[in-house]
Amino acid sequence: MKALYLTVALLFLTVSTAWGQSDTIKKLANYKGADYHDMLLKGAKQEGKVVWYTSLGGKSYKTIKAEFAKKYPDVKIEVYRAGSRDLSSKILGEHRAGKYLVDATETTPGLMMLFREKGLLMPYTSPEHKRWPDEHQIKAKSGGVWWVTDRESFIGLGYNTKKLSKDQVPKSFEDLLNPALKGKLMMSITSTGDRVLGTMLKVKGNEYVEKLKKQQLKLLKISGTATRDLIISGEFVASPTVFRNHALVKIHEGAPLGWEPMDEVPTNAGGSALFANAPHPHAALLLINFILTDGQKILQKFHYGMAWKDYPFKRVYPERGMTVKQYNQSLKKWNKLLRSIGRKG
Amino acid sequence: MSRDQTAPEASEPAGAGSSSFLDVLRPSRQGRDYPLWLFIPCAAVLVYLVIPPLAFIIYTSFVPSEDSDIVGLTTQNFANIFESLGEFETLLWNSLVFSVGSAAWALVFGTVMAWLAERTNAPFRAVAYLAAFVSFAVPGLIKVIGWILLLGPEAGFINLAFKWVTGFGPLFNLFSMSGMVLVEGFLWTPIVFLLMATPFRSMDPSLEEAAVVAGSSDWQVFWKVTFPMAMPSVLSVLILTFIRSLEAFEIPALVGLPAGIEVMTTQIYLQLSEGYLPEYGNASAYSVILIGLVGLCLVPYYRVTQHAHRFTTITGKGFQPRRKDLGRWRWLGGLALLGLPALQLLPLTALVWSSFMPYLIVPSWDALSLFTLNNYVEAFSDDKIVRSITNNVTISIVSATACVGVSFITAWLVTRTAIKARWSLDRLTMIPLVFPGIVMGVAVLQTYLTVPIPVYGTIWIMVIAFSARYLPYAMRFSHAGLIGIHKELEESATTSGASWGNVARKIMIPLMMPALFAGWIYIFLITIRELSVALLLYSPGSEVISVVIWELWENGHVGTLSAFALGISVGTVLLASLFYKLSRRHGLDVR
Repeated sequence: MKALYLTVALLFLTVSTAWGQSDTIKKLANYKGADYHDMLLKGAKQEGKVVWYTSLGGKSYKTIKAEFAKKYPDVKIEVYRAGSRDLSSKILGEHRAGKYLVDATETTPGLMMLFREKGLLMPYTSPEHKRWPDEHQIKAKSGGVWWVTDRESFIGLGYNTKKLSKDQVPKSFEDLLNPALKGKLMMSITSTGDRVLGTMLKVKGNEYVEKLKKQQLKLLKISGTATRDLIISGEFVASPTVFRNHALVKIHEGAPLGWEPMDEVPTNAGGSALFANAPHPHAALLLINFILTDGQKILQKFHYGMAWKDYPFKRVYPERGMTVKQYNQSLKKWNKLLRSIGRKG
Repeated sequence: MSRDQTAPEASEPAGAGSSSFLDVLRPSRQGRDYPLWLFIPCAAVLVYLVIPPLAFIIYTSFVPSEDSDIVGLTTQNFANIFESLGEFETLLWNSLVFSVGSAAWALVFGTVMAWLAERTNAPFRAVAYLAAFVSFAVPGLIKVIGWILLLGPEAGFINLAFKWVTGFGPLFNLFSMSGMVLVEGFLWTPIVFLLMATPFRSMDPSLEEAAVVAGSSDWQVFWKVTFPMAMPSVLSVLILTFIRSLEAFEIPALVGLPAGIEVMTTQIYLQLSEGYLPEYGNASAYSVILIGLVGLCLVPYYRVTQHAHRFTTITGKGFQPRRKDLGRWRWLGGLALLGLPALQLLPLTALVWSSFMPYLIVPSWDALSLFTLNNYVEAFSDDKIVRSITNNVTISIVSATACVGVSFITAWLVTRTAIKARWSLDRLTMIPLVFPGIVMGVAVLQTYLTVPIPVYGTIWIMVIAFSARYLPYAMRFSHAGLIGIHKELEESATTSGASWGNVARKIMIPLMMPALFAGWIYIFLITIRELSVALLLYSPGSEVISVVIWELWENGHVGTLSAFALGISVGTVLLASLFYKLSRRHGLDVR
């Protein structure tokens, strides 16, 4: 019986501590005083560290980590980088187990919509938000924003310039059906690949996907940068799942790589969000503000797109206009279809 | 496996004639007053390790997915699988082809090597043994990546070299079912070699000699005498390799998925990463089916190994097995034996090259100008990478110690006591055998996401999972060690007034040290290699070596990966050699 009482007391203590923490974060997230930055810095120093989960690829997140550490040497930054699906399963798993490790995230909107629906996020205010156009702020009804679009990643065709001459480069989804490309294309079997397939389906319909099966695409569960590097190495001639920013980094370094937008360009409009049970909320907001200021320069250096800029291709946002459930089901459907393209019986 | 060979009363059915539940905990009439206090905590630990994962995986297979409208338990997850029967049949077929192919390939290759090493005068047998030993220390994941670098269809080093020489290519497309079978077979060859070398070494030559005297040709001797004598070993190795290939994850994930070939294990993994919401229900339903398949395959395995005594190859007679003189073919045999070290070194050489290159680039004189040590600097200055080593060493030490400790007590209770319910301990330790790594990962994950024991997000969840998964293997070592010691030693100590603790500390443990130490090393090294369990259970901060390698591969950091993998390979080989030397110095035979 004593054990039962003890368990109940411990559970109560855990729940009430989490509740209290959440309340403190709420006040902090809505703070608008003139000493905003000083207050954050002071609190962050006391907290000593920030845990950041991100799906940013390449070296961009490492540079953000290094620059943040340089600017705020008293605040240790721990980073976990994964694709958005792995991020999802880790964060949801931790939440389910009542383990609150993560403070802030920079990831794609589909995932943040899910976190928001599950009550994992806390809307926040920042003096930096005033620089953002309204349409790129995802506002909370209760005030503050869930996230603002701090970068855009465009998915298109990456190709090896040594293996594909200029006139052979596909310019549209239809061109991917060129028999000369049979067995030479690959797609990343991650949410990136799913979103590309969803876009193909929207633009070209089911018939196109059936035709694509004949192209004997290879499917790899690897990140955007790994996909790009396999194209550079020549293992595959081209892939419609290469991020423009990843490609431009290597193109500027002289790698044999080109990038071409297709009919429509699936776009990941990434943003930074604060977790409702962040164990280091001051440090989390300090990091988010860093991403919205210095981080913007870093992201642009790595060729990420900016929401308000014009680009010579048509951007599409596959998750827009969908509920979390609809988007999750669409992702599953696209994933299944994508796997059927590469599957061998 | 743990059939009692020292206590005849062990065969008495538990509970026979008992009037209450507690009776099963009491010693049988012929038994002595053995410490029941040891039985209860031991049973509790085993139940804790084994039952919740099994219960949760079965339970979760009936729980609807998060975005489903179904309330309560449902059979929908199984219905989802059987609705697309064609897809399921393909999965099953791919799994079977892959497992049968790999097992057969490894068996043929490994057996020929073992025969060459033990029954012929081919040179380089010591090198072959060394390579087989080293192969165990180098994680399979590292070798798979090495093979991808060598045999990738367009940029694989071997394929490119072939194309350069002949103008045709590729020589071999790794991303295919035959590629999967080839690499899985390669991974299993050294183990099959070691397993088959023992019966070849221990065979009584008098039967073969009698056949020769009777006028049989070499082929007839092999086919009618040698092969039938080795049959139980062949069958058990075949079934074992088949089961392990059915459970394999690394090759189906790294080689199979790009080829569009899915098997049961990769399907379970994909179910957890298909959408943003992991499909635990579907993954668990697939897991339950896979558990059933593995369980089915274990039945013939036990039948074969249970009756192995009928085909005894080791007898009390002193003899030297007959070595066939290969004559001028001797060096060809030696060359074939060098295949074993080549299989270990080839993938590692690909990694050596990549570790000195700034990005993935095929070997050429021009590329040499890009030579850099940055990958090594990056690999071993990264907090996460370094932390993965300390995490892994801690996890491996604790898991190996826990497994060996628990299995020692369990084996002692099973073989040395007359407690009626002791059979239950034996059965409990065997249950994890039906859990492939990926399934154990899902099961333990489900357990600790539900039960409020705060181990999720720490390294301890992996310690629990590894301890449960490798318990049967530790039990095998402990049981084998224990039945080799006659119980009169314990009896005389007990009669002289020694407590159980003293008997264990001063007699049993020192005498069993070779077996316990061998078990400890085995589990230590295998937990360094383990990927499929860790991949589902790690959290930021609790990464282990295999997970870091997997992440580096997924993120395309092949250079850093190669540098790290080589560092780890050197480390594990040195560690294994150190253990080996230590064990030899103390007179322990850990072969």
